Amino acid sequence: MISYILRRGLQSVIVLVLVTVLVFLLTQLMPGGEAREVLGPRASPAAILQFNRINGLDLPLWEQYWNLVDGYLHFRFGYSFKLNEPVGALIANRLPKTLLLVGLATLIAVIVAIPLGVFQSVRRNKLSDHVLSAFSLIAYSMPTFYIGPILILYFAIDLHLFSYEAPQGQTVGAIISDPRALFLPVLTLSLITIASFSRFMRSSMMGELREDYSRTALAKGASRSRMLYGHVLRNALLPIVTLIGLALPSIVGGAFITETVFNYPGMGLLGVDAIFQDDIPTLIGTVVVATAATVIGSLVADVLYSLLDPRIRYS
Amino acid sequence: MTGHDGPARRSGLSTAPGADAGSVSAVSAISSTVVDAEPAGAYSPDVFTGGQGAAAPSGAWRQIATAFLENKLALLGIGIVIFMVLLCFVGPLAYHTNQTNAQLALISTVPTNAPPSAAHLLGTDASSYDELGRIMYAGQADLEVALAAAILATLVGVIWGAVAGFAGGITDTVMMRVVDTVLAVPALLLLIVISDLFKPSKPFLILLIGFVAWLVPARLVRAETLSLRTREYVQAVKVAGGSRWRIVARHIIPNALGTIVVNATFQVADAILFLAALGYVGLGIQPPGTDWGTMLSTAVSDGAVVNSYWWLIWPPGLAIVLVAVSFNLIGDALRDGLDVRFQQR
Repeated sequence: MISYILRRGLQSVIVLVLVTVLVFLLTQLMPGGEAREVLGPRASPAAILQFNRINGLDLPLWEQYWNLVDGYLHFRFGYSFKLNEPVGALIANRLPKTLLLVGLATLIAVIVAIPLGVFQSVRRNKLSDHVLSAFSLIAYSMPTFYIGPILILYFAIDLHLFSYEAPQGQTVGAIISDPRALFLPVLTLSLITIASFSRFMRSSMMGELREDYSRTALAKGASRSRMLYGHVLRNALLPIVTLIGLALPSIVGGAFITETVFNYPGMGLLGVDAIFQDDIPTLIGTVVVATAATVIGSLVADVLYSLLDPRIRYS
Repeated sequence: MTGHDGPARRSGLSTAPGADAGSVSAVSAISSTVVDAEPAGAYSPDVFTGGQGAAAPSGAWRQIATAFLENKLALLGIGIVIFMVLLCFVGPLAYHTNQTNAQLALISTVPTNAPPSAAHLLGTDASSYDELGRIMYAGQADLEVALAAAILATLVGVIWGAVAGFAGGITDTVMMRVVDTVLAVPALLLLIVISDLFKPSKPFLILLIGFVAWLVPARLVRAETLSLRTREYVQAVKVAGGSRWRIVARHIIPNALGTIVVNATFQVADAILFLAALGYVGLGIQPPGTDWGTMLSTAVSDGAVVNSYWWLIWPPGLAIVLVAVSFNLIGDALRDGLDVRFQQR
């Protein structure tokens, strides 16, 4: 068990190292280099030389790479010349708000998807199952940037039920205190996850229902609901932990888009705005932090799973 | 759907990149029956017939086709795909619109943001472009990129997975660690960074989406290979002196064909969604071209939501969802069809 956790942790470290190598290579390959990006296409060669010296861009490659990693370890992500602020400070301000959005959406997805999947497996191949399956298939293929504007169009602009823009508060507390504005972004981000989780839950339940132990439970005289909730559900729930870990990359990707749609003041909006502003240090900083958060989240999910399910022996 | 049997699927194929072609033929089996206009990949016929003989007798293929035909949702999916392909590639021949002049709003008498009318069936957008014409114009790029990216991802994934699974040992471990590593990175974010640093062109988008999408087929094919390589007939080929490459190309890949085809279908759906997401953050097909995601993004930033211009929001999104759902339906049905075969063996 300990060795599994260590190995799994080492794997995550390797992933993170490879991501930094990839980012480093990409910035090296960037047409014109960072100096041209900042100083503009008409900068004199002398100015470029000076910029490179000040920012350590004339050092040997391995030293530049080490500086990058050292910076990341100390939450230094370079300087945004467009926003005139260190990228680390920008991210530190935005990250908690993104974690709030992702956390709420995942929580709601799990709370809704589990009963939905159980319900479908119990009523499988009946009308209600087909309707819900169709719903999850469509929701699964529906991009957040399509659900978002449509929800805004009808629920915010036409019906005035919710605010068309996410809460603009500076702190996490300020954002939570405005549920009317928070509702649509969280709903948008959780819909796709609900779709995929409930599909998974349905098949997981149906798999467990076929196992011998569920028949044994009935044969012993357990009631149907005791069999379902006392035996089957507990086993079918386990893989959900892994599923959350696996779904994290797409949830975080979805958060970037959702934040853009609703103008939610999180890290994703910062990153996407950076694309439009050609603000490369900020874009790379947000992506590196989001990736690191995802990798760590998946690691936690896997370790939790190995603790929860002692049947699994990792060799 | 008799096109699932031999000759029909050979039509419309061009160059042959060699032994790894089993997968492409699988994809083009779908695209040549469903999407005639698609420039399909290639395979060499004898590789395929060899594989077919080893995989299943032709009767099994007919069974799959029958199971597929009985699945109404799959037929709906195929119907929608055919409709969308015809709409995007043949539609512009009948419905003439100007989609390339950026100054359209200045030089023409067409109003901007006009609601649907007889002259403009889906209205016009903020640049006076006809919305229906634009859906067609964008759809060409969307379908081309998605299909090409799915084929590319399947090709790379199949080779990678088959080699890893067949080689085993340290090669397998290293190759699959690479897959695990890239899988742990949010694909969308990776796409965003890369395409922001190198301004995207159509071939570049195909490469890029293919690059993040080959991981899943690689895993599936490896798992399949691991179980196939211990089978008697593969052992027999080994004993008979067949080369490793021959075993992979003629026996392993054709037998994993079912898994590959099903996954390739889902790949198309995913590629459509990826491209749309890239388009939404401004990194899709660049002007004068466009794609459905870019259309949505442009509409939103031009105030279509705030002003309730529903005709600029619903159609591009609906196009994305319809195509993605259809390919998912086709994939589901193919998987069910192939399960029938497995149960009866």
